[in-house]
Amino acid sequence: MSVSALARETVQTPRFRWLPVLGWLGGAVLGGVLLFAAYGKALDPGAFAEQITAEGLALLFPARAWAVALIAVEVGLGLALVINLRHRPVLIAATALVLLFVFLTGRTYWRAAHGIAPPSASCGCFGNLVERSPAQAFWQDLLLLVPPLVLAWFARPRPKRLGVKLGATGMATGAAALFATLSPGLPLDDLATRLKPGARLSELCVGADEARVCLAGAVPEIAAGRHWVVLVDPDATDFPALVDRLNVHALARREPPASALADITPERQTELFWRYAPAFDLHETPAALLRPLYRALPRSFLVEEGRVVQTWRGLAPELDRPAPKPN
Amino acid sequence: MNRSRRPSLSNALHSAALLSWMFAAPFEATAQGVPADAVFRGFEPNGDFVLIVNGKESPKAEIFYSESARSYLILASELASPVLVNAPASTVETIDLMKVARQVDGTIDLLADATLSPSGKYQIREADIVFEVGGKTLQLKPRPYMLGSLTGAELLASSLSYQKTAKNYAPDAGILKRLKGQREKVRVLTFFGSWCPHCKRHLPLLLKVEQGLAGSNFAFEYYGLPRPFDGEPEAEKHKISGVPTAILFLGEKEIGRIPATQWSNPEVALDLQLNGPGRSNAR
Repeated sequence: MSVSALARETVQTPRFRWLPVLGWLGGAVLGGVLLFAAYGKALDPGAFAEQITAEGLALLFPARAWAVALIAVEVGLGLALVINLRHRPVLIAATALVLLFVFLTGRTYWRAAHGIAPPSASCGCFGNLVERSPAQAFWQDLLLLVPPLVLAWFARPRPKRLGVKLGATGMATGAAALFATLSPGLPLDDLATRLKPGARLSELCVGADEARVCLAGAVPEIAAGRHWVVLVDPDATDFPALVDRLNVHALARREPPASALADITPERQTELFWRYAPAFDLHETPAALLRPLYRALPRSFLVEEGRVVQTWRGLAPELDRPAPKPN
Repeated sequence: MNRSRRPSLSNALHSAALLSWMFAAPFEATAQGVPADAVFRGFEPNGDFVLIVNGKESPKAEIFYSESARSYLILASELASPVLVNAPASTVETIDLMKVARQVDGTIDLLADATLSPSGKYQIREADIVFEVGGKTLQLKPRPYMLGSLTGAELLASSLSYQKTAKNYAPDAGILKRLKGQREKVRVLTFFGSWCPHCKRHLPLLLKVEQGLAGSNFAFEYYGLPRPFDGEPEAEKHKISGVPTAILFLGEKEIGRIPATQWSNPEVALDLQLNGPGRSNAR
């Protein structure tokens, strides 16, 4: 959109001809951030729904419904701001959304600083794609969202081509809701998570400074050599069946060996041994490290010398072979 | 492996046999035939659990684990016969004492003609299991965490598993010789968690290296951390983010660390820290 076009759309005084541009720029930056954030969340609405539940926001409706609705609203507002639809209702909604995000990240930051939340807790505002500490999340949100929001309120434009813009915004909102609903079933795990071919275990990390933990350090057993690795949920109803299949692989001594990673305590690990007798290594992995690596469990990957070679949704076909027939 | 009920001998006879077996010199299983069933071989000393008999800890009980069988074998003077805790079947069985063969390397095999007498299923209570054998209530309970300052000798004495892993590890002799030539005194402070599987596998390797460096200018200290160790004063003071982590000091000055990923050959990691690129060579 050109400066002259912006000026024509805007109620202005001759002294402040740059205000419409500044206002649109603020709106566009804020809109861009909202669209990027919505993209990350739409790829993995399940993780966003978990975050909504953890924040205590899943009121009246299921968290998944809130997640889809918020993603759709974020896309609608983001697009509206980018196309300069800076009308009062849009800006009020955008302000409410920004205040909500800043409040949530600020609360998490405060909790982490006071030892109430783990230091690696993250708002999940950008889905699994961006790794942020509570402090980073708060300050980034404050700096990325608040200044452009303030600017977006300056020199709001006259209603021009309102129907077209509203139509485009409405369609984008609907498309976002549809995509967020369908995306868990789409083969987008590599796109939506940090675990993808080429990723190094030493770069899959969480936390900052001395509290930084990387997968290579948390599970050094898989950092060298060739391994099948399965991310598992021991509380899932299909976990016993999964153990049986991994046991077949382990007991047949097939190569490479298989390991499983789960967010468990040593006590739970012992309990799982007594209950299911896994013949493979079941490693304790911190939830904060594990969560950005999957959209749904189980998820498998093949790792060679600390580098992810291939990923699979569910169990890798090589791990799902029947037991060899006795001679 | 023949699994059937058989009449049991008297408890007194079994206890006497067990005691005599426990204190007897190790003998080769080959003398009594190699076990046909490879699954019930290679029970290794294990320090993960303590045995509670009728509510009282049995400190001298020996507990062995077989990875291929996913089973624990318990030998204790309080028990009339060895007990096999079979995790895949969730069952407990007793074994004729004479069918249990202790190998020279400290492992145990069950002989091919061993008969397992069922004693029922175990019950899971969180991380513990409880079962009945010969009218006694037995409990396998995870060993409490080792915490605070410990010496290498104390660590070795605390776990048969540590002893066996250390015994089987052969550090690079050339590197040990080079490290022994270290002129300045080096303090190696190792933070570990007795609950951490990676520590269980690798800490004994450093214990063996410590033995190899006896009489040198190296002083080894160990510090057991709780789980989680966030907020533990020593862990915070030394900024420990993962275990095991060894910190090397020359005097009071920290000169390097061995992080959790470099424990496959601790003597190599020590040598790298002391004599690696950019480090003053004290040899």
